[in-house]
Amino acid sequence: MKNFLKDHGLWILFAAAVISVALAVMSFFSNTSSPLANAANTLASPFRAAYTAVADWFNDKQKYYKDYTALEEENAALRKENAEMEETVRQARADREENKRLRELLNLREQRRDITSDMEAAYITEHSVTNWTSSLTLNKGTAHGVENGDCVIDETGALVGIISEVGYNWSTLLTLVDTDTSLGAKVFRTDDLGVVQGDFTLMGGNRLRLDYLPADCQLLGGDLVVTSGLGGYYPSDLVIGSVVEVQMDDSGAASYAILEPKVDFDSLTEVFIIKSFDIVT
Amino acid sequence: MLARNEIIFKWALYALAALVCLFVQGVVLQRVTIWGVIPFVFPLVAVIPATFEKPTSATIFSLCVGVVCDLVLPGTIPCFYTLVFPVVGLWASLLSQSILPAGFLCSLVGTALAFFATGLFHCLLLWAGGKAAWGAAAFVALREFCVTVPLTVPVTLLFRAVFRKTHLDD
Repeated sequence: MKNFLKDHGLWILFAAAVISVALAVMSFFSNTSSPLANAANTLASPFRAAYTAVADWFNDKQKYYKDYTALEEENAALRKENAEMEETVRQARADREENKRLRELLNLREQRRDITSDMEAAYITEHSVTNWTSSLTLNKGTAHGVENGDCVIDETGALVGIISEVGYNWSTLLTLVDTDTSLGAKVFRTDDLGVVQGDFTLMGGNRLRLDYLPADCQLLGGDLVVTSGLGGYYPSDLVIGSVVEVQMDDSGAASYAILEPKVDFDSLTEVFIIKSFDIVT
Repeated sequence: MLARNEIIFKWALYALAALVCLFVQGVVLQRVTIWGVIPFVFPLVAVIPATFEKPTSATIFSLCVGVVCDLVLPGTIPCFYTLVFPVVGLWASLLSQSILPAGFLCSLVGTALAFFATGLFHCLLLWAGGKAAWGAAAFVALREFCVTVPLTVPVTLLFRAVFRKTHLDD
């Protein structure tokens, strides 16, 4: 090798100089890259594309993993936030219902001072327990001053039923549609008097009868029926329900009305027991 | 012939099984309405154990179930089930002693008798109160029987298990 350079070194240098000058001249006069650079880059181009693709693939994978992890964290946070919001909505609904009940009760207290001076709020702990009676069990009893025969209303002042049995901290009320319920009633529009009583045939459909109506009574569908208050056993003007239809009894001599109670017994949760009331004349 | 403590053990087990049924009635069945009625397991508790026992003891057990029912359920009269259940308990016991051996079929027939007697007594009380509703009452009794009758299988299995546990020598 040493001898080769000694013998041909000058020629090699000369050749290199000639090539360099030639390349310089070509690149000076050419608008594109030099042929040598062009050839080198043309050869390198596929390799460059390959390693760029591999690098991009790794970058994508890394980005995907980072995104997935971030999305999982975001999803968990959103789920938590959603659960909290659902809880808030549930609470708001319950509050709204309670608020509505309390507002109606407040109105009732202002309108009916005769019945609201001595009332006891009670929760329903059990709905009907047999198929032969329509009853509700309340969480208030003799310890709270509740007595047999007390009227029970909802927050709007509509009659729910009458207390039939009382224990220390519980009581049972028979709803308006129970066969044992019977009380004086009045048609609000006409002031006609009658007796509202439960009928087993109608009990399943949550209906009751208005009997003993005057012969000249002209009832219309939707007529409001309220308690008459006669005799002073029950407060007057508590809403019982509205007339659904008028029918003739079996004898054909007298008519009776079928009423739909204003109260939906199945959806009741809280009621108010009227422990005492002023008799309005 | 069972010894005294065995008799006590037997009736304590029957009472426990009956309490389980009453618990299921209060916690689950009370909240279920099928075909417009609530399944009513009390007549089954009065009748099915009676099919495994002699008439006297069966009648007394059914009487006790009736008293418990009247204490916990509202009724037209305060002693409704106390009057009806001993009768159906006696019928069920006589049925199993003379016609059908105690088992699922006997329980089924006894249950039908119990619902018939209960429904009939309800009808008579409504009629006596001037609010006769024979058709509606019969339909309620029929639906009540239909939705409750599948429960005769588990209740029979329960009381038969008690009977076998307490009559190992039979």
